[in-house]
Amino acid sequence: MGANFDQDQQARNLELLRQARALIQDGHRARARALLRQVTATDPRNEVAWLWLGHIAEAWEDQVAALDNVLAINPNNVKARERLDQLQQTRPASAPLKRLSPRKPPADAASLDRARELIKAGRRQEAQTLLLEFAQQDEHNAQAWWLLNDLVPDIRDKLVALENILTLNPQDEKAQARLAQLRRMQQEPLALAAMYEERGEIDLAIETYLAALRDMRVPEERRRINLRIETLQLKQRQPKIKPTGPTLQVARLAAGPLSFFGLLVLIQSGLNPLRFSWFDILGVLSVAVGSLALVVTSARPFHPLWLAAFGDPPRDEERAVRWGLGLAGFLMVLVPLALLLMSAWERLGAYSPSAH
Amino acid sequence: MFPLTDTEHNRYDDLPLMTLALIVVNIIVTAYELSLPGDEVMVLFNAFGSRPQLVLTMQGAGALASITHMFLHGGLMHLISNMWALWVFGCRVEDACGHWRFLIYYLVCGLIADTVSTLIRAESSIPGIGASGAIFGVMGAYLILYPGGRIRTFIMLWFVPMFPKIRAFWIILYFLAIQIVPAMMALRAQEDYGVNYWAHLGGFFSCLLIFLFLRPEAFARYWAGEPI
Repeated sequence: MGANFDQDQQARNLELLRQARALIQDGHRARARALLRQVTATDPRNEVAWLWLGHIAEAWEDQVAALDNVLAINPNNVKARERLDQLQQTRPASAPLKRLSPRKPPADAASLDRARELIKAGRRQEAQTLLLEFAQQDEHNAQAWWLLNDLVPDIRDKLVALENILTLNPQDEKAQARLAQLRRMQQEPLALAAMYEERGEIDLAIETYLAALRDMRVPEERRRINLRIETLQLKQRQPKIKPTGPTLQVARLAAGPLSFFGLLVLIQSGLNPLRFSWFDILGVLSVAVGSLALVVTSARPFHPLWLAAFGDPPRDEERAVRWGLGLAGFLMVLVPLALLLMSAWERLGAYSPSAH
Repeated sequence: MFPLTDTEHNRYDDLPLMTLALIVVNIIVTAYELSLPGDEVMVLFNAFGSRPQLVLTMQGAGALASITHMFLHGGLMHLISNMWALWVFGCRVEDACGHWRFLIYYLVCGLIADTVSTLIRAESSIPGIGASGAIFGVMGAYLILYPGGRIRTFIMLWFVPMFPKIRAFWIILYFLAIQIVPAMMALRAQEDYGVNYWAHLGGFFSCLLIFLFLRPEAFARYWAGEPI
């Protein structure tokens, strides 16, 4: 059984390597990275996977770490040594962000305005490229780093941008708060991966889930994460699926219970809205607010609406707020419903069938 | 044509808890009905069935009856046919919604079916009972979400029993079509037939509300044109 498992795993890894190579040749490096990380998760001594990661890992540091792993497995690997020498001399041109260096001549300020226009027009990728060029020329422009912080999807790049902002101005409280929040998110990889998923950053979500899987020891959680990775890999092959906006999502889900209660009130009022009492109207409002509260409460950690509504309190405080809001929402839905049904029951008791 | 079972698999959750719970509750209520003597059953139906005349004059149980009428049935065949249809079509619709949202959707379809029936049969004091309106809502949702789903069906062709897999699209449209003509005839004749066709139609068209109850991922997949 053990031998068969190893052979099956080897066969799977070979297939993953084959797919990764095809993806690299087609230019889909992010997806190739995700596959290579799957291989190294199950076979940490796979020299080929580490060697390829030494070429296509996103961060310079990750490329160096991957090549160090190759040399730890096989000290005589010439290709790994040559690549490491290359990396030690130069930073790769594709590295998106880097730490600050000595001041250079100021960049064209109009580029910042142009980037803002591109962001407003929804052309985020172009804005990101423009801002990266700007940041390479003028690394001491905090506004550019703030814009990049909003644009770049990878949390590691966001952290670099915020660290640069704090280097320029250590007293920037907004940057400090945001940095603390992102560092907290990094420590909760499952919540971070869920956030990437919701934003449609499938490649990053898979990478984050794989990283979480490496440290996960609970079998049931491992099974759940593996299932999630498989689902996302299927989604990668179906790029048309776009996540629904959070506001629409909340409104949509809250409308269901509200429609149920609204229909009950309408029927209780003899299908005539003019017979609604103030009690009925208050009940509908209560159920509406309660439904919204319940939907928001059940949103995942770091959901944009949750952050917008409540900021970023410490974790324990956030849990208490969720419980309180959930309980309040539940009561705001349940109490009007119970009162309505009780009033219907009393009306039944008062009804005299002999008269009809 | 009688649908026997859905041959497709759930995507999110294999256990249709709420569908099973609804079936169990309906069975328990019908078992209680069958244990009552005939005149007491009529008292039960009159109190907890949906009587249009009483609804419109704000008498009787009102909102309560609009929920309880869905769990009353006129006999074993009525119960079996409804619960079988609920099992065939409810499992995957529940999978697409999640347990609690499916329950609310089911009840909403029943309420809309009851409302349409009340408006059409406004003068009637005959109690409307049965889960058919809600179940037609579930069938409508299945048609929207899984039109290509294959249902194992029983049909008799020249006295030969056959069990082909037929696309849900055809089965559900067949059941919809056989409601329309009798519904029109009932409306024209202003008569109360034994079968409440207008409740079925009302429940069916309430399926448009399914989009308020779908899981976020199912909703995103639907709008991307991907299988749910």
